[in-house]
Amino acid sequence: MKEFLNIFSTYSSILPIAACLFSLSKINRRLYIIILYCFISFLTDLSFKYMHLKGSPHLQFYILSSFTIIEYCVFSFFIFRTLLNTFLKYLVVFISILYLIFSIIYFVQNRSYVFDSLPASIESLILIVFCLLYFFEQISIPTTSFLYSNSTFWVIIGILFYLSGTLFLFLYAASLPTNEAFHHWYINNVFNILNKIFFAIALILNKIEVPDKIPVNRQSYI
Amino acid sequence: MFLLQANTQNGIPTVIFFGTIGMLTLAVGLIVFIIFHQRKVIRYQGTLQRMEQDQQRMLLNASIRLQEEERQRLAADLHDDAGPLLATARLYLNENLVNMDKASQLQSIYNAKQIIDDTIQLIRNISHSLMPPTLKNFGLESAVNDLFQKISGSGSLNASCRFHDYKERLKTEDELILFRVLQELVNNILKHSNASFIHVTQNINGDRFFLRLHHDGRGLTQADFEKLNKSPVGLGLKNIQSRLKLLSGNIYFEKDVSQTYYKVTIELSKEEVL
Repeated sequence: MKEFLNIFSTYSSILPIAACLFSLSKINRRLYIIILYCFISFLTDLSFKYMHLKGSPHLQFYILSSFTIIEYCVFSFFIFRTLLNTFLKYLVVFISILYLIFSIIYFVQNRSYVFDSLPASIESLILIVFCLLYFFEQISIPTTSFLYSNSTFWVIIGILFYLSGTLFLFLYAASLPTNEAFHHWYINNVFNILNKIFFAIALILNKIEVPDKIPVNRQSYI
Repeated sequence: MFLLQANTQNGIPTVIFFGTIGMLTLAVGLIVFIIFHQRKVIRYQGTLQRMEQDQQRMLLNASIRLQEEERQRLAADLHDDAGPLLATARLYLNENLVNMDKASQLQSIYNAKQIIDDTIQLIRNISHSLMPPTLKNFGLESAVNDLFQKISGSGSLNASCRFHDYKERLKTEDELILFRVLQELVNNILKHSNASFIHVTQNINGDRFFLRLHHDGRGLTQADFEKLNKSPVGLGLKNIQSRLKLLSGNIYFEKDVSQTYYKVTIELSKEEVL
């Protein structure tokens, strides 16, 4: 079962890419980055498996650490593009700069070559807060369309579920013996599959979505 | 560390198990809350929008009915008064006139002239009721004064007005709207309130233009006004509101603190009318 989840998790990245192929001509420009993320995630999973088979923990560490940084950049950029309030946008940029400095220092200085538990956990916490900012903004704006009819909502749900589900796993991954950590990795797989399913829903919904242009009067809600 | 070492039945460390479950519960709770909250807000907005549409529809109906009533009144005046008068004048000036003796001819012409004069006066009255010449030529203050002199002249009640800051006239079409609103209010007072006096004051405070009407009869409070405005009756009040809407103005009905008279305040933006 765990092996099946592992394989399905790796190939789940294809789901949003396939959904995107169905609606390529009408795709919202904001969602391109999510497709890019799925593509990178797929390549990362494949190369991680390959390195695992070859038995190169150093390379595995580099792949995972780089992926954490890329993942953070993609998700925070997506949220940055989604937020309407200028102050919140600046907040996202400021926190992101601090986080990126920290992760790069951690990446350069860490020689233990175990899972980058600290940057991954901090990433999860920061992105969960960003998701909350998105929801806060959405309930502050008077709108006539339902939130769940918007593809952005499903992307944020995907991010929120994935990061909430894996936060404690990432937080304690470094404290667990390597074998045991891999043993519990199926938690990550389950949430990764969920994440990709939500992204696929977002891309399918995008076909019937209304324009990405934001009315000017929505910008001054705070 | 103890929690990390303690395992659940599935072999997952308790802290990870409960942490993950807790985070998921929070995430699901948050999403459900947001979805329900938004649905509630949208439903509320929909209700508000429907109420506003109903209100608009009622105002529009009232305005159409008023127009129709005005047209019917004009048609009746022309048909019942001007029509018979002109027909009578025509009778005096028929073909037999040439066969009559000189004295009869002069009498017929004199009678026809009298009737035509009456018709001219009648048409002038109709025209004045459509657009009072005093209002057109001398402005709102003079028109209200004129109206109140006529009312006071009847002896049934004392009507007076005082315009404090009216050196500069409003736009003609805005003056007409305000005059019609005042006419409607005064008409209501005459019909329903049994008042002994009406007093109108005008002043400007900052960028707001105020017209206040006081009377000592039976009047309306804001609650009564809103109630009547939402009900199918109260056509005149709906017209007042739809006219003031054109000027982006507000109207407030209140009973004075002394409880001796009623006050109606019309508030407009100075920028809107000057």
